[in-house]
Order: sequence, then C-alpha cells, then structure tokens
Amino acid sequence: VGTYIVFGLVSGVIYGLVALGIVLVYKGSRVFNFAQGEFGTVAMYILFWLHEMQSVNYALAALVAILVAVAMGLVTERLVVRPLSSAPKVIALVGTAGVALMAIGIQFVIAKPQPRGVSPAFRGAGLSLFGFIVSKQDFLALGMLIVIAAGAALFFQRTYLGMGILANSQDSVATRIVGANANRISLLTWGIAGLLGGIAGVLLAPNATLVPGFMTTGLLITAFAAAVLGGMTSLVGAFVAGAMIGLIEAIGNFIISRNPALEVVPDATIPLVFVVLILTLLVRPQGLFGSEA
Amino acid sequence: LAVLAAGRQVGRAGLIARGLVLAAIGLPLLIYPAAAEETGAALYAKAVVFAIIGLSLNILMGYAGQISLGHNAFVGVGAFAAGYLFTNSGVPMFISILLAMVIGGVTASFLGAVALRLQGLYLALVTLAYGLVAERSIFEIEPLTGGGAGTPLARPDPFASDNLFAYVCLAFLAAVLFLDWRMMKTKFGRALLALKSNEQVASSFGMNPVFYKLSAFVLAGSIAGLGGGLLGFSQELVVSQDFTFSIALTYVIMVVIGGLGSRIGVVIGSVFTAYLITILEGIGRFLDRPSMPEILQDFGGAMPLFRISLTALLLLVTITQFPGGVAQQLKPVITWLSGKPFPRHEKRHHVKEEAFAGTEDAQPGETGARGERE
Repeated sequence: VGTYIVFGLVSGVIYGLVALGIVLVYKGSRVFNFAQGEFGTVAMYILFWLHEMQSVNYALAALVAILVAVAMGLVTERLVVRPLSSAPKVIALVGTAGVALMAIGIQFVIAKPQPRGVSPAFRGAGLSLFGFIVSKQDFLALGMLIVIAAGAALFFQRTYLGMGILANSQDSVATRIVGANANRISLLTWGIAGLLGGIAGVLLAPNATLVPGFMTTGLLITAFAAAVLGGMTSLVGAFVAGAMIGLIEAIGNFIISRNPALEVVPDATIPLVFVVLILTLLVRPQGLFGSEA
Repeated sequence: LAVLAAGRQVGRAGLIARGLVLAAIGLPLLIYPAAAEETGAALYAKAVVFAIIGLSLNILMGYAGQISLGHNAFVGVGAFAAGYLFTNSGVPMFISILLAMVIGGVTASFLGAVALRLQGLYLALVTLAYGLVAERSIFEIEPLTGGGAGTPLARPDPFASDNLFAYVCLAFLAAVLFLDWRMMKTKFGRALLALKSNEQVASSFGMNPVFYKLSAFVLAGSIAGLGGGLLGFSQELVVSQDFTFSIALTYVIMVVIGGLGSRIGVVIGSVFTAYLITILEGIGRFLDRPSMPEILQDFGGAMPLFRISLTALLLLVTITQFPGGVAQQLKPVITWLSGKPFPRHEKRHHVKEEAFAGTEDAQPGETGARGERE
C-alpha cells in the first residue's frame, strides 16, 4: 500500500498546482477556467520541442515554456475573456472551453497525435521519503507547490495588487470607482493563471506521456474536483484537496489491483474522481475550506 | 399556411409570395432524401439528427440559461443503449430508440439533481466531468459497448435503405420541433424564460427554479438520447470515438452559431455544422492524394484534426463578435414569412445585450426592453 500512497501524494501535488490556477482565476474573475489544463500542455510541448528536438539547455527551455504559457493566458484574457466580461459567466466558461479545444486542435496539427516523452530535470537515483524512493523531479514538484501556495496566500493578503484582484472579483464597478484599473487586474489574473499552468506542465512533463490535450483529458476534471472539494476560493483548500484526491486515487488503484474483476472498467480512477466530485456537491457544496473572497 | 396567415394583415399577393418562398425552400428539402443517392441521404439523415441534438441543447442553453458541456455523453449513452438493446437483446428498432430517449432522461435527472441546486457553472462542470468519464471509461467497457470495435446496429429490412431512414429521422425532427413549439406556449415554457430573465423575480411569483431547470435538463437529456439512438441507427455502428469532448463543444457551437433560443436558427446551425464536418473531411481526402504536392497532402491529412481548431475558432468568434448567431441575421426574413410586414427600419440596438439578455446574471434593465419589442 505504501508505494501506492507515496505515488498518490506525488500526483496529488500536480492536481493541487492545476487546481490552484483554477481557484486563482475563480477568485479573480468568477469564471471557471477550462483552459487551465491546456496552458500546461502547451508548456509541455514547448519544453519537448526546445529540449528534446533543439537540444536547448533544460532550464532555459523550461523558462521559455512557462513564458509561452503566460503569454497564452494573457492572449486568452485579451481576446476571449475581456470581450465577454459583460456576458453571462456561463458564456465566458464556454469561451475558455473553446480556447482549450483550439489549443488541442493546434497541438494535433503541429505535433501530430503520436505520444512523446520528456526527460526529467534531474537524473540519477531518487531520494528516500519515509523509506520509499521518490524521484528528484517529484521532490521538485512538491517544493514548488509549497512555495507557490505560500507565495499566493501572501500575495492576496499582503499586497495591494492581490487585494485589488479580490476586490475586482467582488464588485468590478466599485473597484473602478476607487481608481483601480480593472482591465489590468484581469490581465494580471490570467497571466498568473498561465504561469501556474505552465509550471504545472513543466513539472509534470517527465512523468507524462505527452499527447495533444493531455492535461485537459487527463487532469482537468481531477483538478476541478480538487478545487471544488477545497472550496473553489481557498488556496490552502486547493492544495490539501489535491493531495486528498491523489490519495483517494491511490487507494482506488490499490483496490483495483487486488480485484482483477474491476479491470473491466478502463481508467477506473476517472469515475472514482467523478464520484468524489458528485458527493462533494451533494454533501458539502461549499467545500472543505470554502468562503467568499 | 392559410391558417398561419389568418388574422394577420396580409393581402392575397403577400400570401402567394410567402407561399412561393416557403415552397421553394421546403419542397427541395422534402424531396431530396428520396431523389439523392444513398450517401447523400445518409448525410442528410446525419444533419437531421444533428438538428435534433441541437434542439435538445437549445432547450437548456436557449430557454433555461444553463449549459451542458457533456452532451457527447448524453448522445453517446442513447446511441450505445439503442445498440445494446437492439443488437444484444433483440429489442425492435423503434422501441430501442424510444428506450434510448428514456435512458438519456434518467441520466440527466440524476446529474441535474446534483448540480442544479448550485449556480449554473456547476452544471457545466458536472456535465463536462460526466462527458469525460463517459468518453474515457463508460464507453470503453467492452461487455456493454464492444470496446474499441464498437456496437453494430444493422437496420431491419424496410429501413435498411438510407433514403427511407432519412424520412424516419425527419419525422422525429418534426415531432421534436412541434413539441418544442407547443412547450414554449405553455406555462412551463413561459416559466423557463421568466426564470432565465430574472430568477429572483420569477421565484417570488411562486416558480420553483430547481424544478423548472431540472425538468428542462431532463427534457434536453431525453431528446439528446433520442438523437443518439437515431445517430446509432443512421450510422449502423456506434464507436466511442464519435463521442469525444470535441464533439460536445461542436454541439454547443452549432447552437450558438444558429442563435440561442431560436428554433429555426438552431436547425440551420446544426445542419450547417453537420455538412461542414463532412465537407472539410472531403477536402482533406481530396488534398491527401499522391498526385497532389506534398505540402497540400500533409495539410489534407491533418484536416480532420484541423477541423477541431476551426470549430473552436468559429465558436470564439461567434460568442465574442456575433452572439445573436444566424437567427439574428435572418430575423427580418423570418418575421416576413410568419405573416408580418418586412421590417425595413429595424432599430439598431446592442446585439450583444439582446442575445445574452436574461441568461443567468444579466441586468434586469436589459430584459425589460426586450420583452416589449416582440
């Protein structure tokens, strides 16, 4: 069981990172961002192209990949989210889903459907955690998530910009009246979302079989389940719930491995996560740590 | 037609003119499936089924102000259910199609009961999640769906001809259109629109928002299941690749292109989308031939994938630039055909606000002005 649990926690960290991006956008603009996964997949492809095909230095390739994801977030805001700012939130949500689909289509055309792989940032043996071997890549992901979650929490509570983002999400008109630039705040929110998506993509890349739309079909729903379970507005919640869902998946995988009869259902962890999402919405729709703002 | 015009100020000449235009549009559409070759009729049937699916989504998006991003799953459940019942259990064709409709409604009632107590975004999330679960897991369960090979459904004898089956689909489309039209004239239809305009006001008049939204969602799920059953029989094979996330967004886009809430617009948008997919695939096959230059061959080979981006682009351009869709552009023509004078000097108004007015969180002021106009 132990190996399953450690693996579950490590994948939970990535869910948490994607969920963090979703929560940020929701806090900042009250939109469900279905393009969050694709910010990551695009970063993965850029990393693959630069590092594996053009043999660019890993750190530089990763940096460029993350910057491209940020640019994608900014373009999404300018071309899709802002024109829809007076439309219903459901239409804005359809817009983000459209962005995701468009990114997937472009990946299909440019990168072709065959699966690809990226080598890890650090080679060599993994380190020991509670007696289990965890790769350096996974430690890096864990460390990054803790730093980012703490940084984001400080940003929202201690800086004018962070408070401006929150104020804008609660009452955009009032925010403009007191002199804040709502457009710039919205742009900033989506830039940060792109940044988080890009980081998640780069960190996950070595553990992933890269196919077009990978982060949307494979991760987005899990990350959303984590965001909802964490309360949609809580940064800590996204982090904790991501790890919890990673654990639930691990336990599910363990049970499946003991009962071959269950293997008739392919990708059985996806329905499992779906059940978690439904149960959360039924029993505690405000999530574990949910609150306004 | 005479009935339609009765009570409206249309002269004899106007009546004849409108009759001629309607006949010029309608008759070729009615005759085409009988005259066309099998492939043409099959494509026609597919377009008609798309129209049924579009209308089902329109009940949700156009009338109830909700959205389903998992319509691929509702249609797919209908298709696989019809396939399983027909091929594995020997249930007759029409009964399988009707049972597919029931099953679509039952799944919708379950999901809706969970998600509709919360704000609209959660229905989008739950349906999207359901769509992905269906795509990745449920539709791949070998004993139920035949896994990658899919479920075959060979139509029984009189309907084996694509030409005749196109008329079967057309009859179902007519039934759905009629149901939709009558429904919107009842208390139920008016309550839906009222809730969409302003939920607080409507519920203070005693309308239960959850009940009406849930009913609309169940209705949309049933009609999607019906569309799935018909789609299965029209293709005679159901495979899971037909029901991916990209097709769910294609369904959304055909409703948005057509114009939310407009029956005729949605039918036009759906038919256009069905043909567009086939035409793009045809262009792809045409370019991807040895006699073509290599670069065009590559482009042709990538066409089925390129289609995904194109659909997404069309969706984004429509919602940000032309939110009223085709229906907005055709409005004067439709007004004229329904027996009113051609509106020459339509007042310019904020198209964007009109199209979105009353969806979930629009301002009350916008909707008031809209209600007076018609």
